[in-house]
Amino acid sequence: MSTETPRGTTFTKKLNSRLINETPCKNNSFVTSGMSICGYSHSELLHNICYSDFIYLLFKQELPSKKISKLFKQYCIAFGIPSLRNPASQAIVAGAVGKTRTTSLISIGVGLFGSKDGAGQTEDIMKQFNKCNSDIGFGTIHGDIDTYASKLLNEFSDEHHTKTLLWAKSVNEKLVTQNQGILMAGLSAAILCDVGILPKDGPLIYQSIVAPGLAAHAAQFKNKPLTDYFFESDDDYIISSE
Amino acid sequence: MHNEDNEHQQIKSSVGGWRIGKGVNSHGYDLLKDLVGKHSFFEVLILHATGRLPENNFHIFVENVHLAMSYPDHRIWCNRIASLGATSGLEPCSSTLLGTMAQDSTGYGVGTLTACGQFLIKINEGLSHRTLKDLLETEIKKTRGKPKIIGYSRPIANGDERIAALKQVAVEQSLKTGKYEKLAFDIDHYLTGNYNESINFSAYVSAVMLDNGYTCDEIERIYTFVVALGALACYRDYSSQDSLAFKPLKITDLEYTGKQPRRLDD
Repeated sequence: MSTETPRGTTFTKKLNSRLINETPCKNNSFVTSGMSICGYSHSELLHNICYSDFIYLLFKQELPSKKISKLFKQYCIAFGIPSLRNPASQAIVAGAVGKTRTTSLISIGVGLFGSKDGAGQTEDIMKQFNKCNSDIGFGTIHGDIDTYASKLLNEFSDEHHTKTLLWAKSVNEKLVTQNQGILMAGLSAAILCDVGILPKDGPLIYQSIVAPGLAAHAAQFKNKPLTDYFFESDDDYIISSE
Repeated sequence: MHNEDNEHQQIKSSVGGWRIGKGVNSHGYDLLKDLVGKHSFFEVLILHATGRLPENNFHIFVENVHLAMSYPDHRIWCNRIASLGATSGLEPCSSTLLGTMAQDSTGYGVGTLTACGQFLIKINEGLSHRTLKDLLETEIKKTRGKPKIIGYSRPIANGDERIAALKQVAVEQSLKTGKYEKLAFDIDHYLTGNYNESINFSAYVSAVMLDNGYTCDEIERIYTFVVALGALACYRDYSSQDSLAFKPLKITDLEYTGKQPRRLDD
């Protein structure tokens, strides 16, 4: 089943999915009567697995081993809320306090987290880390080592001893003398490599995982007055052409 | 080391700002006195995208590029997003802007304009020591002999009906053919003769933009909204129709290709 264009390109008339298998109602095939996810009954999953295993299942089409499950669950918490100082957090808060429609807020926050400093380089970093290349994913933040990212890296690598995390830790230790270290985007990429996520899927997962935290920042500011957010005075707003 | 004083609490603007009670400075102009009523939307669009007002009515060419990219066809990917927003009850701003976001693509829209500009610059630089044929064949080898050169193919159609319309605008505005436009059509000549692939709108527009002094970054900024009008029209079409009226899918329109039924304790 396909359609053909004047150029000879053929387009499908059916959508393929490896994720969801819906069962139509007998009298209306627009309406679902049952659903399985990656072969498992939806009902069985919702009663028996945790949220992070469910996310893993969606991207890998298999449930994680116990070891991977623990690492990925901790990843979801470690990256589940960007700092309020993160540009994506500030953006969603600017929207929330500015009374933007609530349903538009998550697009703003998660969209901004697609930036180079957020999930934007995840695919490239993962590809480089898979080749043990540290050209990206390490560096400085505001001119210094990202101390907290290094602390988390040590915690993760000491507990899990997985390949990329151990390599990243050794690189991190060598970079200290140059006042450089792992960045949060690098740590995220290292863990995603070790749980077996493909580089092309890395940015999608990283953006998905920060969404709840960004949403929570928005919820905090949603009903606050405009004065609870910044509006710099004219003295603090410098126009170079003046 | 990061400066620990309070300078970080300031905003330093090179584009301007609102001096409350005094006026609005845009790039050294008074927005309400110098620009409103005196310049068109597209002149100020270019000012805000590049920091300078266009010369010799070049904004008319840019405006017409926007018109030529405004196909109100629901099948085009960005437009379909706006249509899907409409049919599910989303507001026009979100629907149109989410559709517009989709054009940040390697396949169509503003993403291809900038990629074409970068390609033309690269080929032009290469011409200082290699022939055009040699440069193009090197590119074609990267895709195993089947040319997939940005700006010289379209996913749906052969040729590009928009180029003739825009060339007419260029003639009316007395735009001169520059080195990048000439190069773009030299490439077209080679690919048409050897591979039956011809120049598309993105290569033509990016060449004209480069010839008129715009950088690839500026091209990307100028055409930020270039598909928005098509998306908006498609939004409007379904915003007043029944919920989920746009291309509803039956479950039988889907084909499951995943794991066979299994249980957690298997």
